[in-house]
Amino acid sequence: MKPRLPLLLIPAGFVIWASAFTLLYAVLSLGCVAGWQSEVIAGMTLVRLVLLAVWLVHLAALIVLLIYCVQLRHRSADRTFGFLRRAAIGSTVAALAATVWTGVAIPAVTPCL
Amino acid sequence: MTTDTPDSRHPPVSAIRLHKRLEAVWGTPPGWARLSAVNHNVVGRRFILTAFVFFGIGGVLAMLIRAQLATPRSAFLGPEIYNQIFTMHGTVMMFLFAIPMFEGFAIYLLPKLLGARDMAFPRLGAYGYWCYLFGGSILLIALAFGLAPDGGWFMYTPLTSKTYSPGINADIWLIGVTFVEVSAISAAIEIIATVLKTRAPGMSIDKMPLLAWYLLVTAFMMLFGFPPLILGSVLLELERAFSLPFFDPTRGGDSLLWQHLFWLFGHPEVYIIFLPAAGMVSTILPTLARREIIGYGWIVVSVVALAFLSFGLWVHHMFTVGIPHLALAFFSSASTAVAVPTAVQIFAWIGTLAAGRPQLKLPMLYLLGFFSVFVIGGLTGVMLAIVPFNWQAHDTHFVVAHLHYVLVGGFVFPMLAAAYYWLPHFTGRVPRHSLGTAAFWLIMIGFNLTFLVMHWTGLLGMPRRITGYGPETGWEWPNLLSSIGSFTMAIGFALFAIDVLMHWRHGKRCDRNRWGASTLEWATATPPPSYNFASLPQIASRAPLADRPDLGNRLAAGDGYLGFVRHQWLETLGVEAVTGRVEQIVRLPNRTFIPLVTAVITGLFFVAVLFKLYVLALIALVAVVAAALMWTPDSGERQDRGALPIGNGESAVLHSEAASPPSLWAIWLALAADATAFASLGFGLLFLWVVAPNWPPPEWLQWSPLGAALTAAGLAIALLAANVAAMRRVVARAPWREALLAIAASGHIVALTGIGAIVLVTPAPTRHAYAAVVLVMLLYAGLHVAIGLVFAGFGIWRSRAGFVSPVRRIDLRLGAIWTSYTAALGAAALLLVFGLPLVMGTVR
Ligand code: HEM
Ligand SMILES: [Cu+2]
Repeated sequence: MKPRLPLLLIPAGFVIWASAFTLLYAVLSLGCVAGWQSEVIAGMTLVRLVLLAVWLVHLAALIVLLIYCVQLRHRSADRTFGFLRRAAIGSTVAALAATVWTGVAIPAVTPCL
Repeated sequence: MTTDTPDSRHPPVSAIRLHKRLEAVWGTPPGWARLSAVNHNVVGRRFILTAFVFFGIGGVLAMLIRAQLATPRSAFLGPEIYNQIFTMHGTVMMFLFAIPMFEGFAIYLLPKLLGARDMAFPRLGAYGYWCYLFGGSILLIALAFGLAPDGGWFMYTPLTSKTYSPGINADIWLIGVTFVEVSAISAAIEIIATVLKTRAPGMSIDKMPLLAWYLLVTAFMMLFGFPPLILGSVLLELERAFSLPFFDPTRGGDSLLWQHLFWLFGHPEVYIIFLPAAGMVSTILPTLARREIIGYGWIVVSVVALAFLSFGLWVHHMFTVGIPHLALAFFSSASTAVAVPTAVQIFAWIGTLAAGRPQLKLPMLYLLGFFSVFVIGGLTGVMLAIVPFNWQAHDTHFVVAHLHYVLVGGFVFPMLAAAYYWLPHFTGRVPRHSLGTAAFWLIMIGFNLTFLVMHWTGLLGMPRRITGYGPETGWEWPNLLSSIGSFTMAIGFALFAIDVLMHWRHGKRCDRNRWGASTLEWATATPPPSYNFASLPQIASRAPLADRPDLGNRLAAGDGYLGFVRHQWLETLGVEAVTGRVEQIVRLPNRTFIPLVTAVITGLFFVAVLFKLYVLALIALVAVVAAALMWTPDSGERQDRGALPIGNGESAVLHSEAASPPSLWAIWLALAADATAFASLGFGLLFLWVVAPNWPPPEWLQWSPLGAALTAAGLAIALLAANVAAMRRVVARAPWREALLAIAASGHIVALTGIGAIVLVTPAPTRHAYAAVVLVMLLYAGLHVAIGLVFAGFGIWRSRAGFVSPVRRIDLRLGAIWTSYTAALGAAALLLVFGLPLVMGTVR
């Protein structure tokens, strides 16, 4: 099976990274203004909880995308599509690593200081 | 008889006759007619030459700075002039040298690399050049009159707000730079459409030369990076001209908004400058190392990664402004991550060198200079990305040193390597003397003396942008050394310029493919003819010239596609973006004065704004629309032609009848840039709401049921009507499609009325930033609706004039796409202005 717009698979992973980045920054800013750092749920401030959720959802999306890219089958003669598939896998892995790296501080750093 | 039998199994004419016929239609005649040139060879050379002149000017300004700082308490330049000079140095180097140099390089080289005859939109390229020239001239004239901007190249508010910069200086920056940016965005659209659509048959995406990938990604970065700055400039100009307080904290604005919008552009800008240079390196280095580059796929991935990551770190320029630590961590992580894809490319280059048999030719020498300087710049960059160190070095000469290691290392050295590598292609000559080597050593030694020492003055605490310093500071010796170094470097650049002139006038003639390269640009004659290739090749690998070293001669003899002239048309081939299968014949417009005229009127608009002649500005705006409509007759057909032969026994339809012509890509790209600007505006509103002092505003926007209903209904009618009008079955009946377009037009008028009604109830925009942003948002939507109205009228005219048929629907499709986008934009604007107060009621 071939996707309709295979070229978009190359940036797709990083689009998800960009969404994660934007949302994390937005949630943090809005949450701190709204006072979410003083509401504690299950031993965690609300801000941190929402941030973690945003982060994990994006990580999950990236993993789904990665599985999709890996599973794409193609005739071995179609070298162009083979290239696109490999490049898509590579950039999705890179985006996954970048998203992990972007968010590692969430569990550790006090949000609203 | 001008039409040859388009059948190249029996080449009908000799190479010379084919050349003459092609040159007769593609060439640009001498004299005044040269001003009408749209050919990419001419336009590209103009860009490059002009950018080089600006580099010289920026360099002279740098020398003035260094002369001033050479000795303590220097009285050489007063603070007023000095401020103008360093501001103009930064502005000229970034906006008038680096970006346009890249544009010119891409416009000149891309079609040749891709095996095409020209760029996808030649007139757009010409228009962009004139905008660049006029915008740059505004800045230079201001400098000559002592009215140049003086707030630093990043124009921080409130220093550049009316209170602190009452003169015209800041307006000059905002208007001149925005004018130049119009040209950058048009170049970006053109580059993307060209790379994706007008390659040689068979050049699938994995067989593209790496340089094309780099230029493609860079163009995308420009498309998304420039709109925030354009928006910021418009807002600041609105504040300065009409007192709308976006950046004024006493009235609900915030200076930090400017910093965000600026760096949202400004950091990617650094990579927009670096990536094309890296592309040059990835092209020159394998040729001189005599082997294919290692890790083609890795490089593509790392370029894409770099493009994205570089957008996520703008706040590292604002580490000291008081942002939560966790947010700093996000931006710091992106700042460090960006080093990884850069390192991947560096390893690919080193690996290629190690695995090949490198020759130390002159371009290679400059590449080695690039390596050493750029790596040092990268290391100090990682130092600065670490927040605590940043706090120490912020705004000292350490930063100036870092930024020049990156910019000069990352752009100027590769550009010099590229100049020596491609000069034989431009001129068909090779240099006789080895002035280039002497120039290299002067530049290299001078550069390092200047800026290595500057790290040290920075660590000694010397702040940037100061007019002078006292002798007690202990900064005298390093500054003197630094200045001596910079003058050494200047002599080196002068030697380079002399070398190029000598080479051009007195160099020895050389054959095609001087370096034994494998990429297509070396299959043209040198210097290249206006049409590049007498016929277009079929591509089967990444190294077409290595496969068939005689390719150039065979193409010149007409042994490829389109090796003929049909009806005096300028033709090149359009392919499917991924596979490189032939899809269409792209018929290009020929030389015309319209781009020049349009640019002059655009300039008139900007100058009128500068001098606050708003009536004239409005007239100019209408005239720009009229001029834009004059572009269109040449890009349509008045009859269906079906498939036409393209040689090699194959055939294709004209782009006007194709499913996916380049213009379709152009509108999508333009809308992407537009959406980015609107999103930045939305970001601005949210940002002020959350962060700015003096909120809530004295008054909220009143709910306007009539206005909202009219707007929504009008948009919905226009959306439906325009889309139905473009459907194949409807297009077949002229009265229907015209009636539907008329309905779309009335829908737009209704929507405009609705927006007007909302504007009437908007609180006074000069009192608070909230009302100002709401007003701008409404006007933004209104402007799009008005353009939608023009599109509807345009569709009716094109339909009447015979440009439309069931297979030639592109005009109506473009209108439908615009109208759909406008509807979405209008809906988003309504949601933001009416919905946000409800949602944000709890916040503040
Ligand atoms: C050719 C040799 C060059 C020299 C000797 C030089 C020198 C300088 C100096 C001394 C400053 C600091 C002014 C101050 O903070 O007081 C400066 C600032 C700057 N330079 Fe250069 N420069 C050179 C080339 C370039 C190039 C090629 C670029 C960009 C492509 C560039 C971009 C900038 C920018 C953006 C600034 C900041 C201006 C500001 O603070 O507003 N420079 N340069
Ligand atoms: Cu930066």
